Amino acid sequence: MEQKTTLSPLIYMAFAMALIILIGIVTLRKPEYTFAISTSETHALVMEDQNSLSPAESRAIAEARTGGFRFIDLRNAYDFHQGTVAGALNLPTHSLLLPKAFDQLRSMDEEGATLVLFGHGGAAANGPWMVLRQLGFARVKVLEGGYSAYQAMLKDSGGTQEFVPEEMARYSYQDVVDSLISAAGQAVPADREKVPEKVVPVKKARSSAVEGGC
Amino acid sequence: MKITKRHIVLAGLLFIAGFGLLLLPMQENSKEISPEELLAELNDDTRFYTTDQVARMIIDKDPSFLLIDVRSPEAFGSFSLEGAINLPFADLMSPDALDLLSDDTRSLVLYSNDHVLAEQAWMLLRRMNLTHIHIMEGGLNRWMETILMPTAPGPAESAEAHALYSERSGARLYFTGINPAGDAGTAQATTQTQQEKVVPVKKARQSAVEGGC
Repeated sequence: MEQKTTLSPLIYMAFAMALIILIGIVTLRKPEYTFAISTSETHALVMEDQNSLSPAESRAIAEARTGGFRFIDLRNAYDFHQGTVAGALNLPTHSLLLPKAFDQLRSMDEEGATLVLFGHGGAAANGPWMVLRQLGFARVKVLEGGYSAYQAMLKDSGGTQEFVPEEMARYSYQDVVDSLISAAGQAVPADREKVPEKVVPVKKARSSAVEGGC
Repeated sequence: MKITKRHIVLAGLLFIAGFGLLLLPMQENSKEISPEELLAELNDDTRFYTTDQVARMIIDKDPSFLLIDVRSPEAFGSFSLEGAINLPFADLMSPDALDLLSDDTRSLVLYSNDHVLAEQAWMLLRRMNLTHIHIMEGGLNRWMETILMPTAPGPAESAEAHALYSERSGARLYFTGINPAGDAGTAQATTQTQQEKVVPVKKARQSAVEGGC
């Protein structure tokens, strides 16, 4: 009997503590957005080659109003009102994860639409594209060259200019050097081949992790 | 000894606390930054270095930077920047590469032909909360345009434009050994710099990773 009187406050305390711990776990930093795929999955995904649409493909889609595609203009509202891809929705980069914009993206995605992102240049949509991919959006593409390339294509009615994707090397070092040499009117130096020569291997850094001090 | 209620309660308490500890690391995922932070980083241009800044780093042989070419080994073999090392994008997630990339004693400057591929690499590394990684804005295409083929400003343009042009002409002379606008006197200097230039920057890399007293 006397044991019972000492035990009951202990039980209450134990329950109170358990409750506090549980509440702590439940309310502990529940992030609003979490990455749906790991970095190595993302890495593999980036290397696939179906991540973008050329300006010509985009134009065909936008003008034919092909179902299943939504163009997202990542520029600010000012630029958007100056002109954009037909049927595009304006969601500036910085606003993408605000609840209102994100809900729109989410509902378009749930309808099965492919989102085509574009900013000023080709590189502008790259970051937002990677953020959305990592948040679990499976159907997102980038408009290659961005709005500037799209606009250039619209103006170029004859189709004379060919679109060059960003990551294509536009110059050959040797050609550049040759043209500089001819501009300088000099004889071609015999040792100019040396210039691009670089034999620096990466391997070294690894061993450092195990190397201690003295 | 008899097992009393008290023992059961205490054991239960420990069990609950232990269970809580088990859950903690699953929620925390401490190493990575949140998607919101990653998106916010995109509005911050401090991740970029201009080609002029990179040219200056190379000319000064600045030991606090390491240039990393993320293009393929073939592309790297045909042309790259002085002192750069090649870490193809495909190998970015290999343990060797991550070892190298997480060494934050130096700033790393990634580049590709434009800055799309380099930025994709940067996004992955930034998500892993590495903060010493940068990108050369415009990549090698812009390098060619600005450093190797700078356009001369007209007489009416600002003093800054002229200063920039003269800086770039100097850089071009350094990197190619050619001065198209030069007279006989500078042509003489040309041959000299060309000989100097072949000295590889290799050394700087080794010292930073080695431990020591």
